[in-house]
Amino acid sequence: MTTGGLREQASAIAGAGAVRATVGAHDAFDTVVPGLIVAPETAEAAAEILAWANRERLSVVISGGGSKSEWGRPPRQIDILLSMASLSRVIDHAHGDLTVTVEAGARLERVNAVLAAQRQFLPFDTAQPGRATLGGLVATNDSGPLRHRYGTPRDLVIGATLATTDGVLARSGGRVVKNVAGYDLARLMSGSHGSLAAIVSLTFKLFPQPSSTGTVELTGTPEALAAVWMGTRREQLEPMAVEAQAARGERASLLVRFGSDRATVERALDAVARIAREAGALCSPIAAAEEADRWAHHTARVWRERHVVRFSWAEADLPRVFGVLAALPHDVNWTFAGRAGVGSGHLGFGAEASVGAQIVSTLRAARELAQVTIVQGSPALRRAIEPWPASPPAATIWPSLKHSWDPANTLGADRGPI
Amino acid sequence: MTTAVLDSLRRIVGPDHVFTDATAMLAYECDALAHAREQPMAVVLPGSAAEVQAIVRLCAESRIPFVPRGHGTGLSGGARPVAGGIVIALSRLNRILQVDLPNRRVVVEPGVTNLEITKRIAADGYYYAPDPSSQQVCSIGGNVAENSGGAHCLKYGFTTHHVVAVDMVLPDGTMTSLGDALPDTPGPDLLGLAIGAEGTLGVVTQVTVRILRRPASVRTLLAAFATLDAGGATVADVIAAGIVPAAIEMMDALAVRAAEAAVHPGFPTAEAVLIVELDGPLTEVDAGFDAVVAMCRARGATSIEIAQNDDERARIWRGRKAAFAAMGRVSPSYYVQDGVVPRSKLSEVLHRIKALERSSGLSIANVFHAGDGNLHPLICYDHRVPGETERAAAVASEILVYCLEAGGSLTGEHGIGVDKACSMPKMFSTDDLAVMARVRAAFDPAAICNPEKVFPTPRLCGETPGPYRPHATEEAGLAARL
Repeated sequence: MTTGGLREQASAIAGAGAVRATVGAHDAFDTVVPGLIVAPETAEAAAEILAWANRERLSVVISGGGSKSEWGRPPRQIDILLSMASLSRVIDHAHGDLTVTVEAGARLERVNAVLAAQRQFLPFDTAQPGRATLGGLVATNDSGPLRHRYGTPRDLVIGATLATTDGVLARSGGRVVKNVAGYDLARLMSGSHGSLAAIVSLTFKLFPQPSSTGTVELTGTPEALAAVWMGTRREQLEPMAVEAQAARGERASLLVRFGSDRATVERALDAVARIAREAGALCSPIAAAEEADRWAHHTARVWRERHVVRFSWAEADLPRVFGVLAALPHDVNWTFAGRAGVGSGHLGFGAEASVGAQIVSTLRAARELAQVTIVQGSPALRRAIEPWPASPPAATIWPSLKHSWDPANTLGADRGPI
Repeated sequence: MTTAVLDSLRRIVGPDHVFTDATAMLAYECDALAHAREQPMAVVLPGSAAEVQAIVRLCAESRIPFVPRGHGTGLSGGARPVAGGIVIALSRLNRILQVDLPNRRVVVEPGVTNLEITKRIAADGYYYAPDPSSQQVCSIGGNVAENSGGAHCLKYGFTTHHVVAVDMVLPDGTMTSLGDALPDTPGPDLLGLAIGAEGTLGVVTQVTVRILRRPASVRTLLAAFATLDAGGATVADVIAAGIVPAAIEMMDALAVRAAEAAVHPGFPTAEAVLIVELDGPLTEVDAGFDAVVAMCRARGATSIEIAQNDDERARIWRGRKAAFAAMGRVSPSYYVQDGVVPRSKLSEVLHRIKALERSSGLSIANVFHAGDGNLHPLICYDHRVPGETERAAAVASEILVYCLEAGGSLTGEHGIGVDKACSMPKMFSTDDLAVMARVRAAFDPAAICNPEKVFPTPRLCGETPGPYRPHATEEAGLAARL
């Protein structure tokens, strides 16, 4: 079928205003210019578009803000870019229940601006909160420093509506924070990267914003920093975030942030300073006026590099993780930000593809690291080496799962992981 | 079931661990939902993951349905045997395999009890957070199946937030693992799907949990109110102030009376009592606690008891945790219901339950997790009075309708099991259920793994009442109703 023919059919389903032909490189999604961009305005239209695309054996990629288009293999052909841009409403902020229901295309920053009116928030970190949508956050289970206290999007989702490739809208969970009725399809979608179904709406449990925050930065040997983290555990301090930092040519450091009433934050910062002294680490408080910028810089440093990989490690192995990074080639600039209390972090670096592929291989060979994944990378890098880590044992179930949700392989354009 | 199959089972686990005698199997005919009973063909007690796998493989080859069972404490009949099938009882898999304090991980077999995990690590200052009231006896494998919560889940979440990996035997006998001790395994979150899937996707043979450092400080109060509304308004105030209590529980007058009769916690006589517990750093808890006490007073609390030490705190919790069993002191029989409403709708639904109490003539005690809207109405009845058992069941069913009408759920923690399978269409559409059924079929195409649970079946639920509705296959011209 011609693009014109596709456009006609898509318009008949979703409305002409929801359908747009692409205009060359400007409209590229990763390495591919899709045939058509369809942005349905209702969940029903999204489901119908999927069913149509499935019947016509078209290739569909679901897109929120496009901020994670390089997280996956370079796509094969994309006939339809199914954009969630028009499904972006905050449907219900039930602040007395500490829940919010949103359409999947709602952007994190905008949603948090709405929630802030009641001093609540979705404690998700992502590189581009102005672009990242909640559907994309759940589908990729992206996270950052706040994961330490609050967990990942997967941990806070309590209900979802999905549009399936056979045109059905299926609900799971609900709008209550406690619910074990039926299968947890929202969690099944987490980590699926849009390869099983389209998320059209989500309900999340919320948290109150902390009334006050405070951050200290510690520098020292990897062992000293690990000892500080163990000390905060021992003394039952409860930070919001504990971020290990390292970069080519810089001393390792730890950023520790607390969120609570002012008195509690001050006491915790004092306690960390004492623990640091005892461990032989230097402690510098971050001034209140600079705190937000310091955290923004912490994340931005990693993500402004051309390539970013994510990997996991056992908490107690943190000093060895620093060691693995220090052994990377000396002519490669790299920056690392990791959740010391979780054992998951991001490494940003610049290198041409073959060197980058070597670096990814080296990380994958390191005993201390696991699940090394390219979450942002040039197409050349992602062609030079598989972006996804080795399939887990559970992948034995993937074929039958994929077959039950998307038998014609309509979704995902083989970007992975499933 | 053929002799050959029974012989194979005996060869796998040893003859002492296969029961076929009706008396020996009696205890396995049901879980804590005693009226939902079925006699299985055999009960098998494997002693290792390898034996579990061999049993499931045999069932897969011989198309024998099987029901995995923890310690049988479930309240929705999830462990009810299937006629013509076997029960795979995991109680012998009861070892703690590995304790890794630096990495905050404990690896256990599924038959380890919930509280046992905490007991093992308590001296080091750690604990396993999900705390269902049955934690002394319930199994961690059962917790995984039900995504168990407990009183502290408003702050700390459920089993799904504290389990990082399981080993599972799939219904075709393949052994696999979901998740990992290290985070972020690639692909769809199959572990998140399996937790709460009520044993329908496979048999768990090992569980890796994450453990938490004990909070520095815990403070607990018990406040009495003249009305449930006043108690509920206090809860709303606490939430609105941005305080996240570790636990916030309410009991009504009848529940309090029963608890007093059973375990004498010294609760005040009141229309409603509220238990609020805060935990965390000392100054944070003190600041929050002062605020909560002020809120209780502002809403007219008739008394406020602040626990001064661990004993007093334990006494308060004993009163709450004994509430279900305590109903036996004030009523010949009682029906425990489990439903959820949005917290903001609690007051409205409690009023409807009160009205139902009047119209049905049956007393209903209310115990609930006020912070998350999870209700446990306890419907009192006398099984010796003809028709009263049925009336209690009808009242229980009616309460679920109120929960759903308020935008809630059929179950907050006890699960669907057999008890609520027929009510699933009240909460989910045909499409919703069909999509879930497809997921189940992807794991268990032969439908032998804990069948007849969670989803309604004609056998379980009978014909759908009401006007004739053609089935999809009839509409498609593939079947005809004779």
